[in-house]
Amino acid sequence: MSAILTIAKREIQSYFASPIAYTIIVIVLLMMGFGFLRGLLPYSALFTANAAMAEEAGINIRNYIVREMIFWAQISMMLCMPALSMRLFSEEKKNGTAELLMTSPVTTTQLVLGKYLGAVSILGIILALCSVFPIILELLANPEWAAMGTAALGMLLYGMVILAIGLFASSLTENQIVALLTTYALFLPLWLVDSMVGFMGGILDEILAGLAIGKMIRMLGQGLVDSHHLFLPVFLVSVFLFLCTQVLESNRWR
Amino acid sequence: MIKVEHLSKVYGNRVAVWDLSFDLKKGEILGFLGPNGAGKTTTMRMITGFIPPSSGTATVAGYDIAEEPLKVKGEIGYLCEAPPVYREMSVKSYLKFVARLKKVPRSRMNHCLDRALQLCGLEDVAGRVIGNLSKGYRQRVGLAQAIIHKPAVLILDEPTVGLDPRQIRDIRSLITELSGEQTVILSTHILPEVTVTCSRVIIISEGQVVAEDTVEGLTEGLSKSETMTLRVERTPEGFQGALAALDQVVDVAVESPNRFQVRLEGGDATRALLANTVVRSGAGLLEMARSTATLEEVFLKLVTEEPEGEVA
Repeated sequence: MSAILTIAKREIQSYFASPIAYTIIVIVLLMMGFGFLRGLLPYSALFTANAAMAEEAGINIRNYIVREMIFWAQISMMLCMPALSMRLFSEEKKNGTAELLMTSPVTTTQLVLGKYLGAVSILGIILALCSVFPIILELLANPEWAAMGTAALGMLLYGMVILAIGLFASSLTENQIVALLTTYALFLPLWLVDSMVGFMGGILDEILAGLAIGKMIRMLGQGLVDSHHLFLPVFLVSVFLFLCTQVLESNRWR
Repeated sequence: MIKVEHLSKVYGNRVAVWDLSFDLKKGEILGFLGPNGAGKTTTMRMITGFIPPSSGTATVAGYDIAEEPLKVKGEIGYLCEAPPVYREMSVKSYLKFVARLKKVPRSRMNHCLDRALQLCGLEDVAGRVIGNLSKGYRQRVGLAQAIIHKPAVLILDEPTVGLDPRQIRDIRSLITELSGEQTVILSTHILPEVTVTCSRVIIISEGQVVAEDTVEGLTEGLSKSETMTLRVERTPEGFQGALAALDQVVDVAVESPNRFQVRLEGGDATRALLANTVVRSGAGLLEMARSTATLEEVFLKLVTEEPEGEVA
């Protein structure tokens, strides 16, 4: 465990030693803030116009503001998380520091988990900063904290899936750009598959529905917790972290 | 301390290292000598557990590299060809990170850190960012990284590459200092390095050991037949033939009209005989000197001529 923490801690330090972490935090927060305003402004306009009617029409924070924010969270994280993960192993390979890590008394699994934990910590910092949005809502109306909680969980899981894919991609190459593009190539289908569900029919439809990561975060954003939606990200993260250890192991044989 | 048995590494159909065996006792410094691409780095990587061997095995401090890789890794300090440093970190925080990675207990952290900084002469730059240091300092940080956890075995892949002469001298004396408590394997393609620092030498070429001995043994082995350089005033008729006719003379080569290289066996007696012959022939002996083979000659001889010898 201490080896994992040692590696994770160095990773976090290194993120903040360069502008990467700051830039990514700022971009995600900007996009989330944009989503927040896009939801908040029409919502408050409707409510000031006719509060009773708005209430009756089912216009609430959840399906107005949170929905908008969840959409922008998906976009911003899809853009930014791969930029966070692309350097994790690629840089080590390029700088020759992989040789230090692989000749230290640390298992490949500890190495992968340490790296992953380091990147997820940055995601955690971003989500912690996002709590500013419900706090603003608290001043204006009731933000429905439970739904906010599941929305945050959805974002965390969504980000964790991208980071796991990104970590795997960066273990494949020493070129960070290639790692970045590979992450996009692997994650985009998972995200887009959502819109294909219902057109294929039969078993294929079920498989697609099962992999729809976009639906997972939307449902959680609406406060709907379904065991499948929790299982999917956990499954994807495990698969990609496992693949990552396999790639690192097999690299040694080449 | 280190026992390597029939270690081989094959990439596809390219042989990087073939059937390498050697034994190293505690406190010895082994010089691993060979031209570029001979398989030095591959061998070191196999011993450190960075890459697995295709066949054969090695034990380090009693642990098998395949069966207990983590224990082996704990006993080894390794400086690879390019110092494995994180450029954005300060020297001190980097060394702390490595120490934690190598499982140095918290209570001994400061002691180990100070020792490594002091031994590698890094006290003055401890707070500086590694990326801003000169290449020589970065190399020293690499060395500090390798010794920080006081490993039983130190494996250094070309530790003096890219350093200026003074730094090279410093690193060499540091390595000599460390031996005794530590067993060292040092790879290099620079010959004087081996003569200065190592107690034993393995010469490797195209993945195979072509010679293994002490430095003295190697140079002596080659000079069993010694070479005399002979300079004379003039060469009377049949001079060369007369020399070649001597019993123990193996070969006479003409270097320039009045200069000869005479290879002979039998030591002092033959040399006296040779001198006598030259004087009696009336050639006018100007100079007669013994040229001992330097390690450089041994190296070149072994690395370039071995194939013929092997076939025979």
